[in-house]
Amino acid sequence: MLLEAQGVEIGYGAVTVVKGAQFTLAPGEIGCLLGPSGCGKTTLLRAVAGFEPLRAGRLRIAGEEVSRPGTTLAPERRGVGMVFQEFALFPHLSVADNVGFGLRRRAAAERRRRVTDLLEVVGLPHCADAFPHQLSGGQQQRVALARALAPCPRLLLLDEPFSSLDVALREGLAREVRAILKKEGMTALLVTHDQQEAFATADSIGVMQAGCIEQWGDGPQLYHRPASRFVADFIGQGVLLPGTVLAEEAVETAAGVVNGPLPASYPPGTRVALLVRPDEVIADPQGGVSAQVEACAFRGADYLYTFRLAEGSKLLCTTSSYHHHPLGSTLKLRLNIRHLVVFPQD
Amino acid sequence: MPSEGQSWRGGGRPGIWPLATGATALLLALPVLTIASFLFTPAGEVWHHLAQTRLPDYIAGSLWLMLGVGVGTLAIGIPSAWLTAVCDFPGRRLFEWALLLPLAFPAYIIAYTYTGLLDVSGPLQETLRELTGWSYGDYWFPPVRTLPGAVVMLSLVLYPYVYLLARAAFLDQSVAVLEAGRTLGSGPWRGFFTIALPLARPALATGLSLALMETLADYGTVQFFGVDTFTTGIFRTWYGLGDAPAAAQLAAVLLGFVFTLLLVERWSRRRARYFHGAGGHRHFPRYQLGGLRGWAATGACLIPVAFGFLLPLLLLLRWALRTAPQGVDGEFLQLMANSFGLASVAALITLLLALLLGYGRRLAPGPVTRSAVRIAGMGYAIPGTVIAIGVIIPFAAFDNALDAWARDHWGIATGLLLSGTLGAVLFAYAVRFLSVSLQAVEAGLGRIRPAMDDAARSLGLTPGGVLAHIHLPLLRGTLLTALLIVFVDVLKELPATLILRPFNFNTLAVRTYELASDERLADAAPAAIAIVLAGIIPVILLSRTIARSRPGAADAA
Repeated sequence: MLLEAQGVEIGYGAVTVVKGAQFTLAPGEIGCLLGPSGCGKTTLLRAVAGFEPLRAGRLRIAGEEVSRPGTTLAPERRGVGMVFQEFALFPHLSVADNVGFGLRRRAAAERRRRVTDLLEVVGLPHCADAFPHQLSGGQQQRVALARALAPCPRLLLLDEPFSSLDVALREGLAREVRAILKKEGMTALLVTHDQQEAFATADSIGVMQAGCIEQWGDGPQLYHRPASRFVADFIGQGVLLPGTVLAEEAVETAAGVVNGPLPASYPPGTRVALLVRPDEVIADPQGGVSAQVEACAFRGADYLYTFRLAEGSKLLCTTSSYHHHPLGSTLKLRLNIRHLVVFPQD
Repeated sequence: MPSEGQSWRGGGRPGIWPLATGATALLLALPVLTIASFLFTPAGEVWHHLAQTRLPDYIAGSLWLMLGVGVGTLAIGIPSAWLTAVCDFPGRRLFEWALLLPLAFPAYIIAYTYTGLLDVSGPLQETLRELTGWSYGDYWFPPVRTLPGAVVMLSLVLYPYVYLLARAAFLDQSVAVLEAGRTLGSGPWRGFFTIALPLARPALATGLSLALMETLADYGTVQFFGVDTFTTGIFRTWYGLGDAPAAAQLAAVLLGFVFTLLLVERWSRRRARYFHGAGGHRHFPRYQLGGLRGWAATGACLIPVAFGFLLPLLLLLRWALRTAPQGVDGEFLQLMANSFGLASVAALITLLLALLLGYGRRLAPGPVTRSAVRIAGMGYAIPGTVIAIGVIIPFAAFDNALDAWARDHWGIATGLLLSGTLGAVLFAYAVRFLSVSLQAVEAGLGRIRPAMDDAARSLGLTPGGVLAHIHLPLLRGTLLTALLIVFVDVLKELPATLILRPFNFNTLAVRTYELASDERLADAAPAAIAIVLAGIIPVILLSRTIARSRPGAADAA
């Protein structure tokens, strides 16, 4: 494993910012810490970089222990590169000097070659002599990436790397960054609050809340098999429909009986909440449930409808952009759920 | 999310920085702590004698001086600030910076100059006698070398503090508030008294307290005019009575005055937040003062510039031209070399200390480094006399202890290692002027985002490397300014230099003082001119800052 976090705890005084964080990254893997602001993801990333001391647990990079309580290997001796939220380019240095900053110990010719190569890789070969303030946000981002990659770090850390860019640029750039990282064979850990960015960039994602990693997995796993209510709520859209366990593989809800293996065993009669994603609700004249259109949002490629069932609970449903139903009209629905996700009802 | 408070922001082991920061701050606090400790030592016989005879005079002198200078600086500073901030009249743009020029004059030099002009043997009274045929004693002429005279002298050179802060406050005031006042029918006068002045109160308090701290610190003027104040009292007790504890106790009382001023200033600044306008720097339509009123405004601004700068400078130039042929010799060049060398080294040391403290605080933010930096930055408020006594007492104690120890163990005398050396002088300068560099360093570092440090660290730089490769290049301009200002401050400094300088080591300021004390005012002119000319440098720097902060300026930052 290239990066191992084992029971990592970080805090100051009475405040614990990160609790028992546990994950690994294989060489070449791109990991992501995803969560709302204040969840501790940036603090965990900074601990990996060596800027925050640990209160408990261990951090290992390529098998070498770099952090444990009381001992923190200095950031400059970890072989870890970092891309910062607002890029933190050095304003007094040209683009080439910024990229070459981490190569001070190399021979001049080698340094020049590496800088040229990297500017080529990030698509800015003509910007070598420009200064940071002359570049657009997207270009600064790429320079920051090139600068972090230049010394061939063992691990690259990216702290909200796209958040200061225009929304329109973000996803494209996220995919581009992923392509560059994959091409360089770089192991990377990214921090973001934006799931689209996480899905576009990362191989595996850890969802964090209140200092804990609630679940670690890839995008589809997080979407289809969320391990907690928080993950179910934070990733994608959906509703939690109240229901009752009938038998080992059946749950009865206001939208009918849904069959399938349950993630854990619940005795019959247990009150549960069933996760229903908008793409698992299908408007079908043959459907067994009738529901009234309560709200409707046009989103370009599709509509997102909010339906109200007879007894009051609500369902979200996406339909193609051609299916328009007026507010207040009544439709037939059916559920098409492949993996049952239920949580105990409180 | 990111670390707040006590964390060690540098990553890795804290290393030497926090320790060095704390130790430096403690060392710089030594003089003040020494003096403060005398508040708690039992008073000696001399002190009792002092308390019964001279102390009431010192207190009264200092208080009257503060009262007079307070009224004087406000009376000059507020109107000129208001006129240049919100009115338009002939010469306004010139006066915006020219009103700062008197800052270039140390109070003692302007005092010598006016004495030379107005004394019995001065050109003014001589002309008067020639014209009227009167002789000395036939007529009354206002005596210069008195307490009121000292008030006028100090007010003439210290009003720029009030002017600077009042002007900034007037410019900062919400445009909307003043405009609302105008739509409600209040003209320039009513707008000034009912809106602008009350809003500017916190800034006025700050400007006034700066002027009063300088007043308390002044030694040259009051000594020359024979006014009894704390500083003259400290000198007299130190040299005349030779009683160190009593001098230190006098210094401690003076220190109490200064801290009271500081507290009042802090308190008024805390309230300043609530007064701050939200209007930003929108262009304010100035009151156009036409015709006679415009020229009256010009005159009102010209008076302080003329009497605080132009007239004394011309007089000094005249004397200097007369005495320069004999006066500017090898000895004078030696004085220049001494002064400039000492000021350069002091400026450099002060800057290095400021970098150590400022950067140490950035690396390890927290209550410990914060108070260390706060304590080390106190010096600007402490009179040079107090610092000098606070330096000499522990240094002499160290020297004596070391000497005794060396005699006992090795049978040799080490003599005076610290006291009476340039090292002691430089240390006192560092204590007194550190805050100037420290403010510049802290403001400069504050503008560099912490992510910049982290980026450099992740690219392989040590904390020291970050300072050298990132911060210093980015802060070059700021640091140069700090160097210059400390350089000039040291050049002007008189009392601490006078007390601490090594035997036979003279500076421009000390020589000016000595010649003036011997009533050789014209002979003092060349050295005085050199000090004043150097003093113009920070005024230029200040006026450039002012030009940038002027509403509507192209690069208003």
